[in-house]
Amino acid sequence: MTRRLRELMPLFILAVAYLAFAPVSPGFATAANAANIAGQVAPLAIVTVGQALVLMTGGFDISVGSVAALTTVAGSLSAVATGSFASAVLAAVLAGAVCGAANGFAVGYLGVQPVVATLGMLMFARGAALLLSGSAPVVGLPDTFVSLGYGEWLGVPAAAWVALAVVALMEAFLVWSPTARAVLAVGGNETAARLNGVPVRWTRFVAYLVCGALVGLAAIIYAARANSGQPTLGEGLELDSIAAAVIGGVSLAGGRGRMWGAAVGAVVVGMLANGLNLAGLSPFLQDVAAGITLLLAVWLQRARTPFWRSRAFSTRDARREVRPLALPAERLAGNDERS
Amino acid sequence: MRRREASLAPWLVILLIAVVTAAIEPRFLQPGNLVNVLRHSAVLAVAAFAQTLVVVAGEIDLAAGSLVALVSMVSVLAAKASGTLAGYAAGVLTGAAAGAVNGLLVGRFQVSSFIATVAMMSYAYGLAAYIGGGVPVEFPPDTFGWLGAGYLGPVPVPVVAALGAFAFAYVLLHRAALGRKLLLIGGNRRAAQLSGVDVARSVFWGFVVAGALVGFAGVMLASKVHSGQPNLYPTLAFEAVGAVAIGGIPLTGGSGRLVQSLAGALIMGTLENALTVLNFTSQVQQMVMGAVIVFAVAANVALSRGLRRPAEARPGALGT
Amino acid sequence: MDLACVEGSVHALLGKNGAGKSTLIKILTGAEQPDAGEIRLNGVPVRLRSTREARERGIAAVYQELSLVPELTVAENLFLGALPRKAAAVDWSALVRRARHALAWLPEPPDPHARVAELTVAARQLVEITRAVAMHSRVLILDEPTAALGPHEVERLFAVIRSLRARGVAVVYISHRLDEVEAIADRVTVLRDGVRVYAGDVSEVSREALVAHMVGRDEAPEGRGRRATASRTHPAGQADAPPLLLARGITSLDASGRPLFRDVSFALAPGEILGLTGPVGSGASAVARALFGLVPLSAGAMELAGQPFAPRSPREALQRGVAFVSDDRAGEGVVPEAPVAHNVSVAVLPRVTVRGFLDLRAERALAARRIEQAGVTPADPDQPAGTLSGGNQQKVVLARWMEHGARVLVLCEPTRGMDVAAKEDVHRLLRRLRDEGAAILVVSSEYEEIADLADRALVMSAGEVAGEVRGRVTAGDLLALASRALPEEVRA
Repeated sequence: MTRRLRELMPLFILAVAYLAFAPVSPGFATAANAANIAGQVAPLAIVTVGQALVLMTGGFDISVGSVAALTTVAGSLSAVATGSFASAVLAAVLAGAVCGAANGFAVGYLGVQPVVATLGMLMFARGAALLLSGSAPVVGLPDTFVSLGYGEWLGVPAAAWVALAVVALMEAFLVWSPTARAVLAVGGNETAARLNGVPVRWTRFVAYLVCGALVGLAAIIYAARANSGQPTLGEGLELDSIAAAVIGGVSLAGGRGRMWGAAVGAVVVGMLANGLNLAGLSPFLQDVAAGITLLLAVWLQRARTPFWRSRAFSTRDARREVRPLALPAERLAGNDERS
Repeated sequence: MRRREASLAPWLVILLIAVVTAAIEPRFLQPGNLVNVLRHSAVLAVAAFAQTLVVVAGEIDLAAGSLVALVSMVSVLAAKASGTLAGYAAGVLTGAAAGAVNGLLVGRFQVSSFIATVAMMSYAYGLAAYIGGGVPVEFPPDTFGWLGAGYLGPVPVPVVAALGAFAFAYVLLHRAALGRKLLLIGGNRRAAQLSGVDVARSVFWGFVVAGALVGFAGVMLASKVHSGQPNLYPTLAFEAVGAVAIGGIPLTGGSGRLVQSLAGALIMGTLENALTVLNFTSQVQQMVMGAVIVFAVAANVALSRGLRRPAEARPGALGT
Repeated sequence: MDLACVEGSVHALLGKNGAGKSTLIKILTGAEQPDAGEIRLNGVPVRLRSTREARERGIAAVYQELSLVPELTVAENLFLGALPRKAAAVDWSALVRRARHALAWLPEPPDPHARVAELTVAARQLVEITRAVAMHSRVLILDEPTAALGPHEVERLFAVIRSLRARGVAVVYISHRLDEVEAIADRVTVLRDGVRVYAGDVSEVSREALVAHMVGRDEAPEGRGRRATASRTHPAGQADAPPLLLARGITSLDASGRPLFRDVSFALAPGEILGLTGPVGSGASAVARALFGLVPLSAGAMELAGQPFAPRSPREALQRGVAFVSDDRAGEGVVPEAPVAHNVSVAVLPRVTVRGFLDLRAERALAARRIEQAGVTPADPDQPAGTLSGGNQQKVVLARWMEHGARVLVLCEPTRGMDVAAKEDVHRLLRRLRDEGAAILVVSSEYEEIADLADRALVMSAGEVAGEVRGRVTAGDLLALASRALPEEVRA
């Protein structure tokens, strides 16, 4: 499959999912429901592009759900205290960036595996969210939140506009920023990146930081839609965001993906939830569906991966023959007995 | 010599926590509380043993938290229908079945264990909630509470059960071919494969046994709370990974003694109890646990960097 | 070791594998530090502490395809780590322009927008070379740059090298192909065992003399490029036994459809060591891997003890009694964290399992016996295998297969990176296994090793068997066969 076709795959999946739900879910294929989905998907899309950036380094962030809870509480508290919407955004994004920076520091500089680093953050942030909020939703948000959560502009929810802007910005970031190119290089071939002077640790750090900040931004939308800061927010968000990114063509192995694709993936995931809901499926079985969706997404990606890149086929066998002297940088450092 | 020192360290940490806590709050040392520590650690320890079997093979299981919920529902329903023993058995079998799904995905279909078990986390929770319509199932037979809350003389049954699970997992890991194969796969997958180890099959059975142990932990929990709950112990998997890491077992696989996981689980249990005794809220406890896990692993990585050749311990080499 | 490169000249570096070329390159590119002596650049002594520092001083080496990022575009790979910027953003138009310019020397330049993953191996190599050239380095080191290239591309490469030479760049050109050296190099230095044994102008020295310098005078070739010599009396005396392993016209293709090796046939008898050798990229080690089911065959067939043999997995090959020793000891040989005993018993776990449980004492005893036979020092079955030296790790692997009782042993570069004593130990062990009746195939790019070990040897070049040496195998014969066999010649 050519690269262009592969990049259009998320849109294809979106179309298939839409056509599949239209006949079975009453009220699914209506303009009102489309706007509804757009509003629901907006925060997920923002989290997903952040997650996608981390996935592109070859890592992942499973703390996004808890960090969303912490930042939604932080933002709401700040809004209640100052009455200012801007200070809420600032507080949430800043808190998210700090969490992301902690993840990035642990992964990039301390060499802790992404699972463990973000798992620790998952527990920490959840605890902090409950602690800060006194385990109760933070209420009394200024009216600006309501207009963000349920306002519309040109028939499209305000939140969706925000998400659209973020996705566009992140796509531009991915294409134009040297740091984002470094992210792809690190995820694609860390050895090559290092040999060519790419600052590997810093690049990882930035990716997690940006992801955290974006989660903070999404948390404001979550707060706006709930009209409160929910400390229990974000269960399953790590799963949804990873599934969305993978559906959107972001490689789990790192080094490949598009931001708009990830966002389309988020729409697919959101549409799935919406469609299953309208079809009358128990909300609990929707969790089952979410898990299966993730597996399907990964399977789909595997099916799209050229066979020589998959784990099943050991590329080392074939490649080594081409250049037996092909030494990774580790070996260039010299641990032969001869040296 | 060095290895012995390293394996002693976790026990010293437990002692340190105990001494510091006792100095601030002497009630920590009351026999009743010490038994509490053991009782509380028991479930976590069993989950940590399960995690160890998976981790030494270089994989990870993040599903235990949801899985124990599903197990508790199935177990209580079965106990209500056919008696306590049937309930216990159904719970363990449910765990094993979930492990088989994970093992099939990871071993046969080469899905990364992270993805496979995160997905399992979601659908196990969904099934658990679906079975009971989102609410707990209650009123199993009275005898159902024996495993989680009973006593054998002065010793709580869950402690005995955890010791039994330890013996089982110990034999499997250190005295059976399966455990050996898992260790070799974690140490060098290619070398194991080229030496004729059936990697896919071994990983499959590793996950099945780990699932059965998680099932056992779930039955212990269900028995303790005398009900099946869809939100039983959601952070169990994370704490189990933490216990394994704090015990000093590298998450990159290839090495590890089961006793290290036991020590790790006891550290976590002691710490949690100490924080409770010192009147910290559960939220603070959770924050501390999260931070402790990351720091323990960071220290672990730093140590192994010092011991190994530097080239092998680059952060990039550690991704899962 | 002296090596003087003059600007505006092409300096060929010759030597067999293991002669010290790679180490020299590592030192010149800052990847390793010299124990003594100094490097001067334009007469000024320099210290090169890292690859980056070397690059800043204008020394560039063509690394292998490993240093490309497959999912990024050709243009990005060319300027990775130094992307042109406008304001804070990547200046894509400048990047593509510069990439086009840099790639202009190629007859069919790849699209700068194409991802490296979509390119053939040869095209990737050309991108790699382009990158080194584009750095405007003063010293350019090319290590076997033509290994994956076709004749047309080689010609182009030579044209570029000549133009670089005209621009005043000093080029260090490493190749095993003497015809290439004659075509492109001005001066030549021959290394043997880490020492310079010859230096002079290419025009003043014959191929024969260069070969003689590379192998050492006492092992000069006896004939000129023989395809096969008449069979002499076999030293081991068991070669008349029917072959255990037969390969008939086996062929394997890589991911891009190029042959890894093509139409390879041989017979391997019990009690014989067959050597398989050839220069970089010859396909020899892929043949070894194919025997173990690691590289799929696209044509041809194999037979083991008269039965069809087409292993799909290592497990299957092992069950039929074929064992494989990888050239990648760290990656595919021992399990470093595991004790030596576990490394030995891994292939025979059922043998030490009693009623489902491992008999640790029996396992330890079995391992202790085997590692003593194999001469592992220290002979401690409890030591983690990763703490042993490379030679001893290899002996552990051999102890594993001794215990397993493999009938056919396939080894890749069995002594790479070992000192002389360890090498000799491993060779002695292999001879003993042969005398006990094992059929052994040794793949090695060190001609001495094959000469020392093999009863018979096949020389491969560019994926095909270029010739066979029977009777007394000498390094000179092997080198002569490998150096002069051009692909065209073989096809004819």
